[in-house]
Amino acid sequence: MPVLNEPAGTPEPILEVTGLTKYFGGLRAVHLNLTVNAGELRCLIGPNGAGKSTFFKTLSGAMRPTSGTVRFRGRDVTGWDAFRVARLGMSIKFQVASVLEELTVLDNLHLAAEFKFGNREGRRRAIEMLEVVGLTERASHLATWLSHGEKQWLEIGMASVGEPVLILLDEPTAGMTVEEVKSTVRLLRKLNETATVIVVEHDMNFIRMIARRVTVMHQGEVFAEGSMEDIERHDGVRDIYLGKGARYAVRR
Amino acid sequence: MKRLSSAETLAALLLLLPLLAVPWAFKPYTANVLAVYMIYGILAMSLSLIWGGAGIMSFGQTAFFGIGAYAYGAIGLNLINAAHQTHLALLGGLLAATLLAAVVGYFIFYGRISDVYASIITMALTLVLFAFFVSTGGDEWVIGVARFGGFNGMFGQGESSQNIANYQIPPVTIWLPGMSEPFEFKINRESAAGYFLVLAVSVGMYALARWLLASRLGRVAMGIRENEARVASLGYDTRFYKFALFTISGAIAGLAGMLFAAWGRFVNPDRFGLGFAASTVVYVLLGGRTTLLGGFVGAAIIGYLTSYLGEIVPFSTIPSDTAPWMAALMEASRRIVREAPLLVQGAVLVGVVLMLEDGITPPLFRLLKRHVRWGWWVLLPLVIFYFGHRAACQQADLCLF
Amino acid sequence: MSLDTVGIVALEILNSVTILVLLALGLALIFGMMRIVNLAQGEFFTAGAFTVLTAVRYAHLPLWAGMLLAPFVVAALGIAIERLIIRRLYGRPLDVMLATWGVSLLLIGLITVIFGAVTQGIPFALGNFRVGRYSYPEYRIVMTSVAAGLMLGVYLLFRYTAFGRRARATIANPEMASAAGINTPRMFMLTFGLGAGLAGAAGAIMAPIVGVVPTMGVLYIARAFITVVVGGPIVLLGTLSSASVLGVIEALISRFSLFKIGTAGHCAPPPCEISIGGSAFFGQIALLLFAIVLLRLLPQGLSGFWRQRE
Repeated sequence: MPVLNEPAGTPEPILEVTGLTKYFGGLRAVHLNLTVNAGELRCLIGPNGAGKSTFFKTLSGAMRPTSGTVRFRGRDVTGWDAFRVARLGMSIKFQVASVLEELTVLDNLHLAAEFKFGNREGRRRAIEMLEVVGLTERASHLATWLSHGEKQWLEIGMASVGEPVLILLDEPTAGMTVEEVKSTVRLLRKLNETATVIVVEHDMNFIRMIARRVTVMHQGEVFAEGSMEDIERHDGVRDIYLGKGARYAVRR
Repeated sequence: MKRLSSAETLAALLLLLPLLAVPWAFKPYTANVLAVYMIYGILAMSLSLIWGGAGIMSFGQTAFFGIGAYAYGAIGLNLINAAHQTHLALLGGLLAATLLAAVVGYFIFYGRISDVYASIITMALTLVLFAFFVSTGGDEWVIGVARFGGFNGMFGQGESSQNIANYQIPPVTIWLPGMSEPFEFKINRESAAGYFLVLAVSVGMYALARWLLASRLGRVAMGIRENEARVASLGYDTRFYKFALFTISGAIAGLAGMLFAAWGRFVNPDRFGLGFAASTVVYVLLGGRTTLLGGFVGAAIIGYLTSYLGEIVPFSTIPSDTAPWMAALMEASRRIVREAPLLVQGAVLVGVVLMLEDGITPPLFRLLKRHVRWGWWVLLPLVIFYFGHRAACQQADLCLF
Repeated sequence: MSLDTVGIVALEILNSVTILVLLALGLALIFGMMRIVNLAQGEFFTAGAFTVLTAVRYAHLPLWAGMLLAPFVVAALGIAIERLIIRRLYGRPLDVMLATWGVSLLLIGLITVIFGAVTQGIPFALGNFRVGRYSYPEYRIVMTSVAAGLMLGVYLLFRYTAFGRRARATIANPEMASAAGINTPRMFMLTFGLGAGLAGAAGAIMAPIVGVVPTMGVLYIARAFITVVVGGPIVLLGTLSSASVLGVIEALISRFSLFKIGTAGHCAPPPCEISIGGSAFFGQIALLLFAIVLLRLLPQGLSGFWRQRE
């Protein structure tokens, strides 16, 4: 299926997930295969408990998968420490806004930029990023004083200031007003110009605004994949969101 | 580094001017006591560096302090008779403390031992070192002329030593090429060099710690304190940063230990005792764990309080004609005062944790900041006047007390 | 090595394990169930010993009566401390650690104020039995039995009683337990009291073989913590397995000299050499070193490692 912003030539996979599983005790939270090509803006949707956040954590190294492999930029990064994955160019915004509360807004961004660009250049880029996420006036405030939406943006800024190749965003618009969601969409489009982006969302309106390739997760597995129109026409997906998911429960 | 604000400059002046004036304004005893408070302050600051900085509670700072002291003592005793200086002892003490901190830090942080366990391991380390140095009383525990001496502490022995002074750990002594004779940093009637050395090291270490916290290391450490997983996901190997900060703070503690051995010319296993470890934590807690200055403030306050309580021993004799309940009360109060250091420390630990989380330095500084004009125009002149007056009368030998 | 030496070494290992179990059980319970580090645990141990001392010396009760009394007295003390201090600090593990350290110093100070700083002994009437050429105190066998009894008691309590069920529920998920009608603050209080009482029992049972002095808790607390840390998250299994492993190491290193290193200097009589191993002190050093290396390999402790492998 043609994707609008795909670069010319054959698409090059940047992330290949094969047979990835994660068990909590006896409970299987994730079991899936997924390929994302360079330059994509991929949306990952699914009801609560579909395993999206767990999936992200196993990708970024915050959690070790039970089995399966993750290949990122052609390298097997399964079970790597989080910092090594990050150095290879994957950055993540967690679901629960986890900015560094007792550091200033600028220091948060500075820290995120510093490991790649060093002290001075990192600071310069951090100040640029303040502009992009609209927090210039709050630069010297402690992050803990920011509003919820501002924290989300700060985290998106932190996830992108280090010029990553792949950005994972876990519910970037949670708790935002409609206006804020719109500017977040603009921000995402801008980020997507230079990086591959995977977004986890609940909010179908937001997904529609982005309107790119969508993967639906259900009970830890890939349930459907396609363009937004396909997904909206898909009976099963509608049922999942309307609570009839049990009918389509994936056999274990 | 950022420029100092007006309140910060004022605070620095209010602290440094009196400290610089002390050797002229007071008897050597005061300089001696202040020197040891500052040494404890450096130790406490090394704890706030790792605790306030990275959120890692180390009960082991006194272990590094003690190792620094013992290493300085052992090398210094051997060196002073042969070379009449202690250059290598200073180096050796620092190396020993740094090495110990690095090894312990490696196992703790690269072993991914959780923070609570890390605290326990540092505490166990201190206690085991205590047991070790207590058990070194035998004749076989000797390096050259330096005997470990078990509970009695380290001293030197040997035929070459002619007078008793040679049996003690030497003060910091330098003899650089071009100097006609070795220079000893002592604190007595003639010289306050030892005092100024301690003051200079305190200021230097404070500046170093501030610089560290303002550098990348400090930013990452503070990030780790807030949310370690987040910092790791930004690409930082958090283990390394924790390890580095832990080792540096261990080295600073070791430096304080060397100064301590050189100041008192003595070290015994008490430096590894739980009491000393506790007092270090108490200094930091009382002074404020989020500020580097807190350790110094806490050390001075607790040091003054306990030495004051130690001096007043009420009811040295209980008259025979007192009523039994009165006698019991007097005996009780005497015993309580005798146990005062422990009771004060315990009460401060519980009290600060329950009621005064930030310690006293940050509120004091906020007060100064709010009244910074008054500080400049009233407090500072008063302090200068008082110390000028003290210095003048002390030099003329006219001081009443 | 002759048979009686093997026998006596085996008994010494058993004794080391016993002491570690006695020291660590209460601590492991409090740490494992409440996730707090109680640094006053050593003083609960001391308080147990002083209860026995008071009962025997001043109240002229028989020794066994004092020993039975001690756990209850100390449990009451523990519950009081939990209500007054620790309750306000749940969710702040480091502050709990510091506050209980303060309590520890206060208790040492208060006990010293009351009893003085002298070491006192408690007489007891058991003798020695012979193992070949060696003689061995009978009382140690009593201690081992008591330690085994305490472990069994704790196991039964948590496995088969209503209290045990509620306590396990509280530990597994405090919010859920409290939603299910369990009074969780009360469970924490009782658990803390139980842990304190176990330390009191350990202090009481060990009082006759050690000098009773206000600072005695400090001597044992490090070993207790090492045992708990090495044991890992599962209370009974962890304590028993880590006490066994560490006890073997401590007993062997305490008994046998591994090698000697010479030191340079003047000592009388020469030669100057230090025997590594062969004293109680080296047993403790070995304990610490082993624990640190083990934790480098198994950060979750022994029981955590086993749980992972399941």
